[in-house]
Amino acid sequence: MVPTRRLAVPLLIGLVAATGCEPEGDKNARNSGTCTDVDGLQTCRYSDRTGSSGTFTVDVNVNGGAGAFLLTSYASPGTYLSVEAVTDPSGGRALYWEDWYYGDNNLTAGILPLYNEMQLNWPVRDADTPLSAGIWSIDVAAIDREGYYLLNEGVDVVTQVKQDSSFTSGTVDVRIVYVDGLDGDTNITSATEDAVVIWRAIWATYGLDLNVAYDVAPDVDAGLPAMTEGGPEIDEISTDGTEADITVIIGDTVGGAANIYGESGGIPGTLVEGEHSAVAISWITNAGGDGVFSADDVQVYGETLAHEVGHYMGLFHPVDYDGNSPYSWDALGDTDECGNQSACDAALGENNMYPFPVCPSFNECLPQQTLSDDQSGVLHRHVGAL
Amino acid sequence: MVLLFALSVTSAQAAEPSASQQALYTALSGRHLEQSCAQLTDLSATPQDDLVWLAENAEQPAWVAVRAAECVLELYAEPASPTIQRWMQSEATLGLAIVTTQHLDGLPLRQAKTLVQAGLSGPLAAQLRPRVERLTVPELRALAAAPAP
Repeated sequence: MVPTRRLAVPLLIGLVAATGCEPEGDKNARNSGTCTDVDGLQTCRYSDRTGSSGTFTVDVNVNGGAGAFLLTSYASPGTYLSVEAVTDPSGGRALYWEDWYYGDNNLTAGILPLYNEMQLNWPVRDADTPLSAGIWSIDVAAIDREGYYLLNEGVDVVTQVKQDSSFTSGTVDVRIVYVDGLDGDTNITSATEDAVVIWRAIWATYGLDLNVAYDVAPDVDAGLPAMTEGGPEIDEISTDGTEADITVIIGDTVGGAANIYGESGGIPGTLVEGEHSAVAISWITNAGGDGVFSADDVQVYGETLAHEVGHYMGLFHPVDYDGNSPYSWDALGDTDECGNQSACDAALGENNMYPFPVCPSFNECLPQQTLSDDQSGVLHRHVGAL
Repeated sequence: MVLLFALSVTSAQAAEPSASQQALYTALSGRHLEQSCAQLTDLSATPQDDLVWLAENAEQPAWVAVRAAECVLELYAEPASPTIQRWMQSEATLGLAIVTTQHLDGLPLRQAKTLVQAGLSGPLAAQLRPRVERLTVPELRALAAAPAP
């Protein structure tokens, strides 16, 4: 092991398979591993090991017309993966971790060594280096809890490339999974379906459609794990989906308590399996003390689904607070970098990604259904928006 | 006249928070809760009463009531026992009853058994029984297997 440059790690929150992808006409380019091409989304899987520097490099080959790629990598428990750099086909540096790690603006959680699964969607924003044809290289570090690089560490890699460079319209496949027999409670299923209508309307304004499928996982307990912790049941549920859908799991609670109404498995999350590969939702916390969804509850539930899946597709809160003081902002140019709460409430209080509802009076909160152009652009650049 | 009466009843029933209840309401309304229950008590001179009031009166956003109930269960389960028992027996507090059920493993056994029995003998029995069956403490799980009175 060699010491990492990252001595203070915030714990917040080999062998390449022989089968290469055959290019199909002018669609997806050849990439390493065993690949599938479905509806403009190429998914390739292979295994690798970190080298003597404790990093490994993933090469993603893209054709002209590709819009974005999503890298998902996995290591053994106790290993923390994070992106060090993204390099474009001409050798230009598109992303370097230090440019974002210590700043006040959040671009992607892919640069943070959070756990043994890591995702990076590129590009994140309109302002980022767009995809150009050729080989993109992503350097990924594997470190231990103390921040030391891990050499010769086995990793599994999934690359996904969407052959769609339109960032003004798209469809997101979502699979909503009821656990533990909750699909038998019409109070929950009706409210969820009505909330999806709200969510669809919010996103339709920004050119995104939803293709929602419903599923069940009766053997999974309704007490869902915190998505920061993840769990094998999340892996199991997400494995049953397709390689193009986002999994949303409906349970009683998230993280052992009813105070989390919903939680995203990553910013961004992935489309493939994993112990963090879902958005978890607590129906109780969205229904309130009476356990029954009122029209207002359904409205906020729909906003909640849009908010949490917004995180999953790469959106941060436009501002985050330390107590009453703003302390970090997203990396987008058109969301206000407000300096105090009243200014933030005024500028962003109706934004769907604002960290809390703005309630001018008791029990009366503002709708939060707007997104900025740049926020919309982040959603469209996620590989899940096809 | 009838309309005026109806309006006056509605007005009388409208819940208006005190300053400390409003402060707790604001703190509990965040989309991602950032303060612990213990930290929240700094916002009120009567945190138990205020949290119970919010659990029973806060409607929007929905999670305020649920989070307030969580804090009551975490900090004041014993002194608020009559209130919690009421939650287990009223159709109007199904959400609070389910939240309470999920805390039963951590409560003193005697109190937890009393709450389970209250829930399973009331109108919420159908919703609570499968959740009691999944509790960790065997004595509590056994109560779910007992025939309904």
